[in-house]
Amino acid sequence: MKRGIVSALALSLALTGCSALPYAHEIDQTVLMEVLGVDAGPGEAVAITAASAGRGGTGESPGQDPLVLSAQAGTITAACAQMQTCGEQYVFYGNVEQVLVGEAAARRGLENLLGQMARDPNLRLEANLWVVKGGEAAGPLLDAAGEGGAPGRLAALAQDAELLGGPLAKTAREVLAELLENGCALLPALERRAAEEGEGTQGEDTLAAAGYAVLRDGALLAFTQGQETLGASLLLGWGHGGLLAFSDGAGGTVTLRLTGVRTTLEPSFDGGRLAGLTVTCRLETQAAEFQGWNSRLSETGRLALEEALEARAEGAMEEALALFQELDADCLRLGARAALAAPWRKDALEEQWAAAFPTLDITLEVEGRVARG
Amino acid sequence: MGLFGPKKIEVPSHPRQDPRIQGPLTVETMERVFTDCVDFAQRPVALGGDPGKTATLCYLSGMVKMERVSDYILRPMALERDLGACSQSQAVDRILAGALYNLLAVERTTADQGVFDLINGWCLLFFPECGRVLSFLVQTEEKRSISPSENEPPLKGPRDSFVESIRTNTSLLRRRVRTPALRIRELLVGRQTVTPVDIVWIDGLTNPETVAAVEQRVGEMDIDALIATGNLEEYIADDIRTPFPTLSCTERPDRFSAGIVEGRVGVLVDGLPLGWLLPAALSQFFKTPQDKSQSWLAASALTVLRYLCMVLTLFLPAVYTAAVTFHLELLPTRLALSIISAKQDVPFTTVFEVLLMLIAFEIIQEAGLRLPSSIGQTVSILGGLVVGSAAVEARIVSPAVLIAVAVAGIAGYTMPSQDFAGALRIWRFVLAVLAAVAGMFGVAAGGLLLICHLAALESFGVAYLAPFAPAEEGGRAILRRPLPWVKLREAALKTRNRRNQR
Repeated sequence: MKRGIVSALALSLALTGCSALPYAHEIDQTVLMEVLGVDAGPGEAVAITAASAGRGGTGESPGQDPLVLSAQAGTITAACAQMQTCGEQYVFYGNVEQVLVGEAAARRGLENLLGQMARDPNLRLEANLWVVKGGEAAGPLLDAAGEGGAPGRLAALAQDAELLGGPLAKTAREVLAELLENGCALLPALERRAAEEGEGTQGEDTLAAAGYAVLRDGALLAFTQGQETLGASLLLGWGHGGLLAFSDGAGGTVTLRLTGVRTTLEPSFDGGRLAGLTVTCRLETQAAEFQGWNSRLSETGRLALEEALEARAEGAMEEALALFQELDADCLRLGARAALAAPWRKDALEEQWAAAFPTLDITLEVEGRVARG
Repeated sequence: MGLFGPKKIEVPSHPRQDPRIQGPLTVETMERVFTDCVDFAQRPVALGGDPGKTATLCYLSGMVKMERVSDYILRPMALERDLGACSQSQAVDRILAGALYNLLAVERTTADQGVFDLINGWCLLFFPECGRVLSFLVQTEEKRSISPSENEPPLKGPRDSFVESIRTNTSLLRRRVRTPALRIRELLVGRQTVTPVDIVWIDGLTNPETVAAVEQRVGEMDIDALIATGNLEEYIADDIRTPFPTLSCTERPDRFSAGIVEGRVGVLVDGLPLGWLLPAALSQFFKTPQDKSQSWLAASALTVLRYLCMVLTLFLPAVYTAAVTFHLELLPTRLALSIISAKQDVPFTTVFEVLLMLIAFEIIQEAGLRLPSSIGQTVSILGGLVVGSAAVEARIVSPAVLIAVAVAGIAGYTMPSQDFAGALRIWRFVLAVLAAVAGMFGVAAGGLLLICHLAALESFGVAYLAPFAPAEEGGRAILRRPLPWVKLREAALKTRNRRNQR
């Protein structure tokens, strides 16, 4: 018995890493930061902005307005530590669920940030990463402070992306894994733009999805524009819930909802040499709304819509592929997926892929189906 | 008072006298033994109505049934003329042969036997001429009637429960376990109480080593009194330095009988309306008599629920303390925010709040138990209101702590064994304190300690964690299989005959 107790104590001591026991903090004296903004500071410095969500009061206890703190230092840790001195409350980063990276900071590289998120006991790799296109991360956080806080808006954006087929949010863990395995990755991008009338926002600026940020070797290279975003999503097999509008040339429009996207790859070899790649994309859609069209879709109209859908998807994918080939960034992991599709050619494919990708002949085959709503 | 505390006083040993009563078995000895005993009574009886031939009847009033003495002993002695016509020795032989109608009539030769017969409700008939003594069983049958169990209420099953009379209890057992192989061996325990303790088992089925061990431990008990359950449990348990019960006790004869048939050894004590079953492993304390009375699926689900409740009652306050004080990252953000909101303006630390509430919970429970049931309920309601809503409204504790402690407390009530639930309550405090000191590391260390402690326990040669450990003993603890599939008795019991059905 005594031996058991002694070994249990020894083991529990080992569990602590033989270091000091964890620090206690009273929860009501703690501010839970939920969004972290990372921007490039002057020189090598980094500017960190942290925002908490507003908290409603219970009973006679008042709530708390969203809190935004900002600090600049040589490292992320130093900046975070600097924010601890801003008040008597303990600033806790363990609940950070969204991390915004300003464009300048993203172009400088995400290695330090991802490394810090992997090492820091508080920051989680499960936090979503976003890149702010054409601006700083601090801007949206400071804007949102008066509107109920940035965490809610970002969480809504992540949910909207899942529902409406936009660029899906990615966790820091996924981005880190992609960068380590593939050298490049796609991140969802946001932009701060003036709110249009009817968007329901109270402020002057709003945060909106802005395609994908293309990362290679840990740094931002470019953003997808227009149809490239749709093309990238389709190539990844994503896009469920996305809406595509088509006009009939006579003022009528029909909106199709993507209900299924299935993208398969098939590499082709000439002898032992990688000769090309065939991408087959099957799209399932459903007519969601008619404006000026007959509510009953005729068979001829349906076939015409299918053709238009195939042309739109093919064009979008071509544009996306052209961008990625031009940047020499296989962010879609086409090589790895092609190897999975033809595992008996895996070695040859992996060996030749990096060199062949920028100029690889990629054939697109799109098959679109439109179901009557 | 010495330098290092009070001086040790040597207390001489206290050997047990055997025989306890010195001297011959005579009326004079009885008078000496029962000096200053107002209930000791004696009267001369003329044999066959002949005043020249008298015997002396001794008894303890209140212990004997007067009608029996009058009708079965005094009346035939007075009316049977033949008893007066023969010598007293011949009269004794005739009585033993059936001249008196009493069911039990035995001849006693030692003062010890005579004294304890009187105490147990027999009466003694002294024949001074021949020096012989007869003892008749005429004890009163005043006892509580058999009623439903209050602590183990039956939902679907028999409604009787043990009473304070050991003979009634053995009869309840005999009515269920009708095998002639049922053995009931009686030992007397307690110098002052001389309490009959019956050891019960089925010959040819129960592990004889367990029977011998129980018999040895009960036989070695040399105490003043066997009145409370602890007087038995703490003397025969393998390890008393644990809050966990290593003997399973029940008020219900059906459960007791089932245990005997499973191959356990039973212990019944006169004066205690309980039966103990040995050995008892941890899984035993999660079973209820209803388990075999309802669907095996429902019984399994309820057993799983009880195990979950055990984890909840043990760890919830500790994990809450650790998460809120040390490891905020464990909490989802929305939950953390609502806890922060709830804790606003509460002046105490979370650790203090949790310990305060745990203590308050125990106080209310104890107050409710010690009072008569009608007042107890009032105290519980008042306590719940005061400690609950009033404390929250007064911002003395946060609602989240109240919920955590209340859920832990209620989860503890799902334990079928109150002894086991009591052990969990103690460990709940230990874990909460460890969590307050070292967060989840403390909780993990406490959990580890608990497992080590349980693994070190044994009950009459059976590992306390059986059938979870050791692995070679196998068996199922959590899920109850359909009874037709359970063809073997528990391996850990090492029964002579493992098969329990065709």
